[in-house]
Amino acid sequence: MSSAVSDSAPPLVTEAETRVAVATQRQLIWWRFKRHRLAVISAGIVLAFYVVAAFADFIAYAEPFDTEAARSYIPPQPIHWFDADGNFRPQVYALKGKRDPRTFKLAYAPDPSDPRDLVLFGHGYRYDLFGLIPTDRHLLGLANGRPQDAIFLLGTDQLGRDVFSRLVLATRTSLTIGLVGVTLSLALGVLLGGMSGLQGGWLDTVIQRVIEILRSVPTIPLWMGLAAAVPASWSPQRVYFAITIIISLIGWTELARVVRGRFLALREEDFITAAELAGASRMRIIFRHMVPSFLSHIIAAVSLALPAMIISETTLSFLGLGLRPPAISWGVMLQDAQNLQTLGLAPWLLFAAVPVIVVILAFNFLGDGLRDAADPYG
Amino acid sequence: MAEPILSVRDLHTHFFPNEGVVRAVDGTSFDLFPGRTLGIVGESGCGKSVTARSILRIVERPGRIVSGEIILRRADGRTVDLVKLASDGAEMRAIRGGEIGLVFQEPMSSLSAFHTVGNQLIEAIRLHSTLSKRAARTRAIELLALVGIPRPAQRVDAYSFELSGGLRQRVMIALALAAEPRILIADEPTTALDVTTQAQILELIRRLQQERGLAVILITHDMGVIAEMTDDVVVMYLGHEVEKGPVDAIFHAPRHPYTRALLRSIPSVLAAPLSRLATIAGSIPHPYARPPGCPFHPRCPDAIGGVCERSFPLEVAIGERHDVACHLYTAGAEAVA
Amino acid sequence: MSATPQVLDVRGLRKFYPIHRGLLGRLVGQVRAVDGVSFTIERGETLSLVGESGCGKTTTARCILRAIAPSEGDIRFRTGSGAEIDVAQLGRKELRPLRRQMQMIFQDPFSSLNPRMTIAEIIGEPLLVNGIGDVRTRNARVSELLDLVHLPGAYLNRFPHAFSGGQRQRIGIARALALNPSLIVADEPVSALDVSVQAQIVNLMLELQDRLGIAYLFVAHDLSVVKHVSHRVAVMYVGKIVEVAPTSALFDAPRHPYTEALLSAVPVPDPRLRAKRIVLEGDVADPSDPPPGCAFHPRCRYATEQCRQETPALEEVSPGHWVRCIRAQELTLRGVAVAGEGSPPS
Repeated sequence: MSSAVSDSAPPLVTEAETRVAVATQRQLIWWRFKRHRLAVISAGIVLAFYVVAAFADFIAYAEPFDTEAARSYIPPQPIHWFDADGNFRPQVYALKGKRDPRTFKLAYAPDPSDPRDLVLFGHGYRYDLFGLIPTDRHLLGLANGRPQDAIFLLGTDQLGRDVFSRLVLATRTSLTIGLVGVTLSLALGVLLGGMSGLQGGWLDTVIQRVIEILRSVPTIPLWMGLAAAVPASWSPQRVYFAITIIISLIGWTELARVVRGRFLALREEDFITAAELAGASRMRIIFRHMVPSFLSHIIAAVSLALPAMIISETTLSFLGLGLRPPAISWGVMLQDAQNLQTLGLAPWLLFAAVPVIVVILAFNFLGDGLRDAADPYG
Repeated sequence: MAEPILSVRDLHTHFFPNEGVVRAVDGTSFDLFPGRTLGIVGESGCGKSVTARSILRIVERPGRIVSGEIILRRADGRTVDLVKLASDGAEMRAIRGGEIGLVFQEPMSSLSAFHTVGNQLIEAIRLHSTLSKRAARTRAIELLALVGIPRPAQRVDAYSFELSGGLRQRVMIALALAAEPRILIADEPTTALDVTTQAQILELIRRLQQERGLAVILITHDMGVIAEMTDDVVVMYLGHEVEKGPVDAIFHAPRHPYTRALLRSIPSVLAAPLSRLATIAGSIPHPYARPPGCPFHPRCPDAIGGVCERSFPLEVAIGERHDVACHLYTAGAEAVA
Repeated sequence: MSATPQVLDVRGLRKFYPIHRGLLGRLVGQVRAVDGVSFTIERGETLSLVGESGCGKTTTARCILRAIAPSEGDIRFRTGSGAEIDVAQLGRKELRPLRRQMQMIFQDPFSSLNPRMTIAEIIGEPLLVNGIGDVRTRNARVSELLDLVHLPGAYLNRFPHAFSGGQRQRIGIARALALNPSLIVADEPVSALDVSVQAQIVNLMLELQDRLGIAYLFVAHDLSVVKHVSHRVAVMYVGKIVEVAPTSALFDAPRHPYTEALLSAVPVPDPRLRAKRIVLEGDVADPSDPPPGCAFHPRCRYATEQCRQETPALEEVSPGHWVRCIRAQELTLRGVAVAGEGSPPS
């Protein structure tokens, strides 16, 4: 007696269970991801950083190239939230010069008797928001006066440039180099990794050996060699692109291996055979069956490759081989903090290391979370 | 009947993952006697493997034994309740391997790929004895010969991947017997093997049992293996014991509707060609969606409305050492302790 | 038997895999996975291919479907229009139209369905890639197919992870039926399923055969299931067919010692029938280094010196019953109990 009623699925009685049943793979991955609190927080942090990068000029308040000897090496100045009478009135102190009686040197320091009111959306230097809209509004400003004369959230460097504003602008540069570099690596990695995994044979062998050779060369000397080949006469923008390309040329290997591995594994899956037997074309099998299958792995690999890019650029610039002043990046800023003298005089210059650490950690946790969500059945 | 060497009483082992509680074993009781083979049979999710792991106290997190007793009678007559022992304590470790040996289903993943077969045997032997390395090696070669591995003196230095599936399983059995246990638990020992190799391994287990008076628990989903190898059978469904008794009674006088349906639905080489199989309506429910009352009631052709979905039936005796947990039989019968 | 046209005629099928060793990959030998296999399948009948690991049954099945390319041999397939085409040497392009006539059901219900497609998309894919009908007719056909395999239509937009193993097999069967094939190759379709679910799938396959006249090539290692589904059975050992016969003949009166041992090894679900088993010595032979002469002789109870020297050919010992054994005529071998006596207890 054959069964008139088919064997039932896991009883899809409740709403929640029906949701699971019709959930696409993407939704399942998202739900799994949401459970990793650390990864979700890290995603938020990364997002915050990119928002800062997008609104860099808006969040900065002092013109990054505005040097002023009077403001050299000023320590970070806190915002005073309450005035002398106890009212909520954010203020900072303006600078005042004072001659030291013994050395007769003129030194500038914030003067508590000259408080200035802080305002939101104050005026500052001119810039183009998103490169399109000319404006001079910034997040922070003074009720009257130029912001860079009184606001020193993270102090100034030797040339009197405000560290906070430079840091914010450096964030933009460092984070976008990461993006451009990863896109290039992704393209190379998917292409070469795909060919390697799908075709197999001698092509696979050749590509794999190239990857192994590239990975076995010590990175820093390699970068140094390549970066030294960049002519000093190039403009900062050209140097920027050259550096990006240099970093990507090495970064693609990791992604290529991930992609190749996934293709190799997928080739053996029964549902691929079934699609072939049904008469599906090669293209359809690759793009409809295989690619969606490893997209989540690619995303995870990319989010782990980004921090590597950022570190590469930071390292190169720190060594003086990457971006050079007047370009601003985290690495360039850290270069200022290289010698002991400076560290003794102005330890706040080291603060540039903090966003590097935070963003790298955040990317790593995010990437781990994505990878765990994509595996094991993804 | 002699005293049982192992008694499981009302064992409850539950798992507590994030999604909910899985009552993997929900009230199993049985006795194991020396020299006899007990078969535990059921389909996926019935809890047979978890029962074996509970006895050996190797249930992985997030599972644990919630209640029940597992009483082992040791060689000197003393009894000890395994549930009360610390799972990683010295006494339990001595019992694991020393009193109770376990043969797993997948020999490839249960044997270390990095050690020779001999090394693993020697380790097992020395864990439970005071033999020197040399003496242990001699004993290891003896064990390999005992389980029928040809050229044991050479094979003792082989790695597991150099051996075929059947030989690996023999090594697993040798490992399980290395410390001379009195009980052998075999969890689906032949499922991954070819049928002729399966015959060899089952033959080996039977011979070893006769030679050493082992008490054997054989866990499988294959009713044919149960019929061939066991003296007593426990039938499980979704963590519950639905019927238990002597093998002949289970096959020729089954009482529980699940047992009867299961027996009718198994294919057999004795059937007429191209004959249809009797099926059980529906399918095994998801562990998180266990039906209330008797777990089999949604699929049961004899379900009593208003009764079967309300409460789980008590186990009652319906024959000599033959118990069944079904509302069809509880009316007026004595409950089994 | 000759009145109904054959749907498949395989002759001399061989598939060898080269073994390479060393840095330069020298060819040191071959794995003779399939070594001269010939058989036919009639329209609407089921031929089972049984054997243990390494016997070549799965490789044979995949060669027939051209999922892998055979090394040698003919695979003659009779299309719906009656023409006979040799599939073995066709290129990809010529194969495409033929794909519709031969389909496959896989062993693993979990890897045979793309987890990222709804089951409507999975079942409808063969129709889509072959450009059959428009969206509406395709959807109608998908619903029809779901009906055929007894799955509720409400499940159309669900993803494979929502279904049990047995249901996934049904989905796989529905997909295989989409193009109305005349032959379905089933590669161990029930071995990964629970016993009670096996029964449902076996019944479904028998029902579909009755309704649609499909022929099955059923690859399996479980002889009990084979007894229920087959018209004829072929036993393979190390790449060769050692016996082919109608089901009853093979099970009741086998003529090859390996078949006898296989049947004897199957545990029978009846404790009153614990017959004395024939237990073979040693392991299944290695297809990359088979023994000389008859590949089974080292394990055979009836082997003689001649068996080591001569490689036997497949010969017809009675109508429709072929055996590869030089001693076939003189041996009387034991089969299982006759159906009816000692039938499964209930």
